[in-house]
Amino acid sequence: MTLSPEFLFIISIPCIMAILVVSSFARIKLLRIICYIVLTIILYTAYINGFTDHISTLFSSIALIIGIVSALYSDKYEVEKYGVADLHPLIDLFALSIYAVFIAPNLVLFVIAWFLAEIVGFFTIVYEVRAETFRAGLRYLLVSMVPADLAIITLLAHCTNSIGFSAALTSPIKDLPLLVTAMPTHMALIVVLGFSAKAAIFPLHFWLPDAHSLAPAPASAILSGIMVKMGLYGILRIIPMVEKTLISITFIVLSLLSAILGGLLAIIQMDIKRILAYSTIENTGLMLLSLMLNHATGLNMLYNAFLVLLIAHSLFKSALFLNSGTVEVLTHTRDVSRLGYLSRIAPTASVSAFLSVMSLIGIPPTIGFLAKFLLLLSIVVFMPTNIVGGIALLAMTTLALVLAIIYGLKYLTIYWGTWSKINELNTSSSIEKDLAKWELILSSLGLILAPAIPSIIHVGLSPELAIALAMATLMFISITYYLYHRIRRAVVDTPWLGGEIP
Amino acid sequence: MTVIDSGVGLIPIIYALGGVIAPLIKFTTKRRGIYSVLILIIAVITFTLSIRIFKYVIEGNIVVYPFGGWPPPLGIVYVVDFLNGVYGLIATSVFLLVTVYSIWYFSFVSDPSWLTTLLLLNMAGVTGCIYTGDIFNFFVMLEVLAVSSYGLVAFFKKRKWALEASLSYGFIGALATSFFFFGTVFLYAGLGTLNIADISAKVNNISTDALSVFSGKNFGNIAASLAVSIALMLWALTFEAGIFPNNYWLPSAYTEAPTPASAVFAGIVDKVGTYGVLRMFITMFTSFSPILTVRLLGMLFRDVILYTLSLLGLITSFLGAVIMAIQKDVKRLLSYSTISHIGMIFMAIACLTSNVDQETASIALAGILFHSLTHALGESMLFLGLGALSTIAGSRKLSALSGYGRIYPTISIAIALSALSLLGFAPLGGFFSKYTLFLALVSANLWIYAISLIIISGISAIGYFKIIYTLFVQKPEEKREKMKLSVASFVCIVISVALIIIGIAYAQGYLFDVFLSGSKNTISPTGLKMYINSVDYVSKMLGLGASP
Repeated sequence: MTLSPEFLFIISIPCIMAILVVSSFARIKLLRIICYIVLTIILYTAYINGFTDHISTLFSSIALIIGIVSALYSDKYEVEKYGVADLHPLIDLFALSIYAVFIAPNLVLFVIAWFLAEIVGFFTIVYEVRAETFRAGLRYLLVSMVPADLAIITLLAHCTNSIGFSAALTSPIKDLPLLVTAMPTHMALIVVLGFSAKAAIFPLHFWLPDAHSLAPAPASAILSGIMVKMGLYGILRIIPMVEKTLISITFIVLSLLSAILGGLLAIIQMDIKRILAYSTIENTGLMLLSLMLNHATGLNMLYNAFLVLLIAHSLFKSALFLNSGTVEVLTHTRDVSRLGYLSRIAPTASVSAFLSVMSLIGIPPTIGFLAKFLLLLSIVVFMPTNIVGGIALLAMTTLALVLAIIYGLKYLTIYWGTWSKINELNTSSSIEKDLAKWELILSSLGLILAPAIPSIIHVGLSPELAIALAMATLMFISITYYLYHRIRRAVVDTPWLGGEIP
Repeated sequence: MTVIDSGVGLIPIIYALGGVIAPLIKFTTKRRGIYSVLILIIAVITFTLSIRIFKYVIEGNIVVYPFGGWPPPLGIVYVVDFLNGVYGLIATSVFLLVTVYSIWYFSFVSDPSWLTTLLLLNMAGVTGCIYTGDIFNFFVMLEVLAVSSYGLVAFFKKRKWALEASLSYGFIGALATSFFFFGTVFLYAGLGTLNIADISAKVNNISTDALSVFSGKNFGNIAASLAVSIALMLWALTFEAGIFPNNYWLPSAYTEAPTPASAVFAGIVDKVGTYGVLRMFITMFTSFSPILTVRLLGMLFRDVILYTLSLLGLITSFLGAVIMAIQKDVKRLLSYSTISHIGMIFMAIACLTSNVDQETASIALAGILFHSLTHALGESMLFLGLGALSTIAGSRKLSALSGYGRIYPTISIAIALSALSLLGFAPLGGFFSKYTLFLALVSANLWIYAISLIIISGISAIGYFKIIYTLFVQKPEEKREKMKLSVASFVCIVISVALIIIGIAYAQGYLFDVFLSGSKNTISPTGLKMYINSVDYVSKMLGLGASP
């Protein structure tokens, strides 16, 4: 019996993952990093050989990047926050299971990986053994897991009815829309609604804030950075089978609602992790909006906007969640009103937070800017087809983006300025450096990857645009460098900030 | 093809004989190990016999064994087709695993001889009910099963709750089995026979050579007497299965019984009720019967009953899952989980109505059979594993087990796996069985049931995750010395590995094909004819002296 390369690919990933988890339990850091690198190599080899398609590769690359950074971050975080060393295997396993969901070549592996990710997700949420985390975990089970499972099983049932039991389980997931007949509307509604519960879209969004804010910071980073993307990935895979008008309009309305609701609720939160959690609801709302609009209109630009939004959100949101973990370790609080001027003791963390928030509110030349630019541009392009709807969409989307600016700046007040009094803190800066260097990787990726976006989403780049982007990047980097030095100086400056000297 | 094999008849007799021998041993020796050896030998013999029968069955044969050489409608005959072949295999294999576990458990019991007797008699009743081809024999075996169950529930007779549970079970159980007896009386009045194949031939108007010669004549209104007998027999069967209005006795009975008995109850005994209902509506009162064409509410009588049963199943399943979520007692939690799963199986019965095509109905039957298998394995294993842990902890409270996953990792991982299988996580068997049920419900366009199935699983997730959370996430309360659990752990690991293998084999399509083709065979008119003809053939051979 000869081993086909595809079989080798399918078999090698669980093996490497097993080695990784074992080495994670044995605390062999080097082996873990090597395994992550090997997984990346396998991913790209598989892509070049055509075993996985563009979508899988993109999603799994994001999962790998965020996974490795969160796992390495948790090495330090678990010691500083909990005084134990049993969080990082969980984080590794969590990241890997989500990676497996994205790279799964057929439906049965997809289902297995999905269930694994859900179980591990539950255990990361209840990691801090308390009654309220357990409640949050149960809410996650009931509101996020059950609809998603319903969606998956309905999808499986539809495929089985269409092409038979074994064929449904083993046929490649990327060709599924070609093999399977179109879904009846009621089925499509169940499937999309189920997957959208995983992505925390409006009627089934309320599990997310508790789950994401009560989990440990690296787990929140993965939950928010890649796990909610599982729902979007599911929708992306089945959307060619779904009919165009009714479902699209329903979910455009729902995603707009969740974008605005998420933004409004984020503004009034006082817990920094809850701000970020509601912000996730807003952003997934925008992503689903662009995806559904793309499905309804067939406008390719919207699909690009979806992908860029997804990359941007994954990077900045996981960076911000890691950042919130750093803040919690340094100050032992997550209350915005009690935090302020952290840039003096945490320069690296403040740079990272600054970069991420830039991306969140969409300042050029970050990926966040590109994403929002593409989204607004494509809505403007869409407008002539449906004037009233287009204007309404534009207005609502802009409102959501403005809300993002407000809570983004609110988040930054923990570093520069405060809502009430100043807290005096004495923390050694080595902890901060160790923690913040990891989040800095993600937040700077949000900047560095910006020029590479056209090639990632397979869009041609005109030279003028490239030069403009490069110029903007250069300018931005110099400004940031200057700001960073200001902040470094601010650490040694006298703490006088205007007004009467106390 | 008809195969005449004495193994079918031997299985219940071996169990019953073992049950008689066990108390006699007490006079000769005081060694406790002998009971474990006895029960193990019996379990192995019966298991191999049932495997042999199952082999005949999946080749498309029907296994018949006439007791005492009497021609069928006169004498008792044991008939095995795919339906009861699967249930028989489930029963004997789960019992084999329970007996291995009992080697460990018997050291905690003051007098294992009576426990051995009761367990073996219970199994005699179960296998008798499953393999028999005669309704009156079914009733007798149901009594054997029920009486030994009352004994098992009251085994710890010094505990007042055990006595209470046994009394309530016994009182209502005696009522239910009496109802079954009245049901058989009405059946005999309507058709003049109690042999399942003969009943089926008469109800479905299939002509037989020899069965009709020995069969009695009816006296009375056929439709009315059949309706009354169905109602009465269903009462007893739903009582045994623990379906909604008749489920109140189940939690306390399952909780108070000794752990191996609880495992047998949850895995095997409640399947007898399910099997009885299936046999009634798949072989005896089929959708192509010309007699049962009475219409109620614009629907066929049979359809009304099946819809009612599935609705009751839905209510049961929902209640079980909700009440399970708030339980603090481990065994009580598991018994509600059993109720919930049996309810799910009954929900799929809605796919057997006449509105649903044969293809979908056979998927539903395959799902029911496969879910019976995965549930029997998973639930018995949970009873065994958590029973072992709570025996060590000295308390059945869930909170007493906190952190035991760290102290006893092997058995706890097995427990977690089977909890996840019951919940329905791929690639464990439980996922594929639930999925097959879902598939059947979707194909039959019963969306409310299909969605309820998943929602109920989701609600029951609270209970299962509570177990896993307590075992693995919470910290141990106090330091306890580690006790030996190797036998119990071994059984649990074997079952959880079996669940994984079953799941993978099903996903690969091997097992799915076996179940689907078997179910198709059972449910189709040709399968029914085959069932009747093989009994008829035996009757002809024995009674009319026709050469084989």
